[in-house]
Amino acid sequence: METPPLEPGLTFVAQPDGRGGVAALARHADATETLWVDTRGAASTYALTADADRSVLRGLRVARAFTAHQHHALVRRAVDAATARTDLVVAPNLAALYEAADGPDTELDRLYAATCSLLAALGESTGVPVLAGAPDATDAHRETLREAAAREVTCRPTDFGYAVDAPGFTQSGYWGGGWWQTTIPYWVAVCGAVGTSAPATADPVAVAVE
Amino acid sequence: MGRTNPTYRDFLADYEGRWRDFRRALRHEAGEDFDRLFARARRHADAAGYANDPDRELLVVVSMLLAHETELRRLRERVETLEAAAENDDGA
Amino acid sequence: MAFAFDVTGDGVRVWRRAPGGDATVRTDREFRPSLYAAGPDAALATLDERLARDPKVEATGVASRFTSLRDDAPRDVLRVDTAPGAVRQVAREIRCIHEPDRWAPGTVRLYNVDLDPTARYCLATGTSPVPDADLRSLSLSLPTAALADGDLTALTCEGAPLATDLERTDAAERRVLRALADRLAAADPDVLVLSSADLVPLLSDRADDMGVDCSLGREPGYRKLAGANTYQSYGRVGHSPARYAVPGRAIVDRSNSFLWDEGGLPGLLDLVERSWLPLQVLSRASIGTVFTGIQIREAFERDVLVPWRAWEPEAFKDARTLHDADRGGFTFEPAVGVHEDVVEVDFASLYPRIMCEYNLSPETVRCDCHDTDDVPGLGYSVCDDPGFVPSVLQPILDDRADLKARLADAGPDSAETARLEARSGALKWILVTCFGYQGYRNSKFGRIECHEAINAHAREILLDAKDALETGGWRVLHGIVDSLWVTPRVEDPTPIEALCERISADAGIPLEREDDFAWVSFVPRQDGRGGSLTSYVGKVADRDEFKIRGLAARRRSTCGFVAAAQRDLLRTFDARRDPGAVCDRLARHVARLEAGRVDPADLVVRTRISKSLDGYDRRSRTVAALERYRDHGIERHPGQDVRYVVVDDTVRSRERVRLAFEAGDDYDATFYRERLARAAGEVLSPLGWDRDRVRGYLRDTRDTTLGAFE
Repeated sequence: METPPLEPGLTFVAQPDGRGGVAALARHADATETLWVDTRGAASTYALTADADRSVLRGLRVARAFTAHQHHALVRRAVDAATARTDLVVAPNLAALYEAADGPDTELDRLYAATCSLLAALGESTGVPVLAGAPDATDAHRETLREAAAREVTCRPTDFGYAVDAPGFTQSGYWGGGWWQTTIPYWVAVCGAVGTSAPATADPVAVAVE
Repeated sequence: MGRTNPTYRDFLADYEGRWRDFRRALRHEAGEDFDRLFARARRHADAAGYANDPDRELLVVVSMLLAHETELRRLRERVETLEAAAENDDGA
Repeated sequence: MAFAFDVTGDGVRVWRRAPGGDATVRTDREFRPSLYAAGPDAALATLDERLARDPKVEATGVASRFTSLRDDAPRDVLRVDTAPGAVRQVAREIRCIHEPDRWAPGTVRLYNVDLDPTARYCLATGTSPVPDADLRSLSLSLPTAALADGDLTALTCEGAPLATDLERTDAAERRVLRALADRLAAADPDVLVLSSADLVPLLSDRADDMGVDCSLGREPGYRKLAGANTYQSYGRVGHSPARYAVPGRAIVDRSNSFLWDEGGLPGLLDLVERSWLPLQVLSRASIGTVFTGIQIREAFERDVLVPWRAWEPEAFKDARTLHDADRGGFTFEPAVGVHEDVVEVDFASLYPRIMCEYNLSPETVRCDCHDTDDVPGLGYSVCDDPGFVPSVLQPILDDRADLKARLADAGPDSAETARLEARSGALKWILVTCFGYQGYRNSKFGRIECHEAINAHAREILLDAKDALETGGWRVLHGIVDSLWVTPRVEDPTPIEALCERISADAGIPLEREDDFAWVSFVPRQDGRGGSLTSYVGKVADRDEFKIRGLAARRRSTCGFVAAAQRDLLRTFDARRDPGAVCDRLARHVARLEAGRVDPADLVVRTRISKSLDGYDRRSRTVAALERYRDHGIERHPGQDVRYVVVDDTVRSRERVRLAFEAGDDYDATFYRERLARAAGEVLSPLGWDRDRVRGYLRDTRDTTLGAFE
């Protein structure tokens, strides 16, 4: 999978056709140390190691939130947990827990907005790329994240992997209907012929992230 | 809170489903053999789940091989028994 | 001692009664519930100033408390004393008005907000809610249909009808109410055990309408504490009926009391003592609420505050550690089929004992003060300081062991035995639940790493036990988390007692010989894919008893006829050990069913509904039943049961079923035959007999066999 170079600051990953885009981008980011703020099991280690390589998990530090308040506290804690080696922060399903009823709407909306600003501030002050997605979220919550983000990337699943659309990013894949399409020969070129093992950074099985 | 990873038993059921097309094209006897293959993999789902290797497909294959080995042992023992019985008959 | 509490706008009314004496009430108008706020000094100072202007806040002050189990030392927090009943409102305003004005969310953390008001009163004032030994109770029951109709003539008191009239007339109902008033006056109960709390408004309102002087409480009137609502817990939908209070008496709503079913009054009172949740609150509480209550009481003693929201997240950890930790207990694949000479050994109360033995608690697992490798396979450290959860659980474990010992000594069928069993039963549920609670997202004192550490220990303990049993000459047929089924692998295995002793000593947790079975049958899954992990039946050796799990006879939805038939088939198999004999017996049940000779009362199917009628879009039996309930003016809510007999399963209308209380004696024999066949399959499939083979057998032998039986 070809991905745009990750830029410092908060990037909103739009996923109009489903989840998994944030995980796919993170997998291919080739980061030294990733902090992953997890909700709803997005950090399933089997999805992250779709190529069955445990070493992919190296350098990945995960913490799971199960309530909106925990999620907010985790994002806060990520600021402290980030080390000099940290070069990627990931927060998939950002809004999920704020849409479950743990408290009054106004309180949770405020908490959610604060979480978005915190992530933006984290990216800005440290210069570390921060990837956040809000699939299945309400339009309002997605808009809040979009406003907080410095840029937006769109990630769509295709039969052959994720198609990424980012400003200023030229893909070497094929375009069709405005979206990136790939072909079998393309994947053979990237991964080698069928039967040889695919390198971790170019695995068409990224679809399995779903 | 629920767990983050699906269990190995769930994976195995799902993985078998992924071979649906393969299974469909098999002739009757081979189809039954195929089902047995997965039935035997299931027999070691406990050990495979405990082993917890990220490469779950490999766990499936090793489970099948192990069942194969067990069947070989049974057959070997059976042959030995039958041979012994045959020798006794010869001797008698 | 106090037994009933009523929190009203002008204070807390506390009802007491000394043994043999009359009940008295005193209103505590001084009590002010307190919440606590923690945060930076400047924030607390500003908050203090602002709250001073709030009429709902009567006083503030600085207190020294632990804000988390993980705190090394207490810290200064702001104590906010509010007007009675105003705690939540003040908390909401702090969270939604005061904090957003000045600070980022989470700057101020709030504690002791969502406590039950009566339990809060008891804990804060040191008022024990444990009643005296001579607590007097009176039970009242009205069948569901009569309750919906508001028909009082069917009302029973302590199981006996209050009136003998068969006709429902105003005069008859008036007589019932007068009789009830007499009974209440004579018994002067402290506790009313009601078939449904809806009896409170029904009886009170009708007495008012008819001008009969009949109060359920020790003073006139009643209060509605909460309306009915539907909730979701552990993925299951539940229904919580409306709650009522009457002055001077605790109300136990049997339709809404899991604990009443499990432990009766002795069980409830035992838990009142542990949790200090007053009887009325405790009776309708879930096990999780009771366990939380016990923890909150311990927290009060330790000066630990109870967080309002679950803020504390887990720490960042290596994804490979997460991968290793994110696993449940260990379950063997069962050896499908029938096995002779089987012993079941269990680790009694495995999870709570692991927590106590290995000191696992939210604050001890991955503590900050140790860098040791204490949890097998995960590398988590565990602190040496006595853990919070173990200190809560150890007394429960000890007391339950003591109750079991006394039960062994007490004669069977004595009143003492029933009382001990009830208490032991209630405690068992606490022990069963405490583990899951560690992983529950909204638990006040839970932590996912603690949950993982417990599972890690449990897996190792079970596998170590397997090793020891195999070395001792036994074969493991099946094992689930804390139980193992074994059969001799060699001629003369090491006696099971000796092995249990050795394994117990190694694990630090007693492994007990649970049962000896003449045979155990592990049932294959319906789809034929391997064994069902939790469906099995065993014939206890030397005793006329089966232990059944996961089979039709155990499932709550199975009708009495099918359950009894399955048990009969099991007995037949036990006596004859011959699938053919089981089939013959099956044929006899089928014949009786098809001849229309089964009592419809034995054909009542019970289903718990997950949606209300309007939520269903398929024309199922449940929908047909719900429509019939509605015709009777009875609204069934998600989480409640519907009970019906299937009359004609070929139609989709409401004629498909008949409700259990409706008159009629026809039934759909084809439908029940199918159910019977499935139940028979659970007995026969472990023997390698599938449905085709059963059918074939019945076709060949039916006439002669039936001749032999009829």
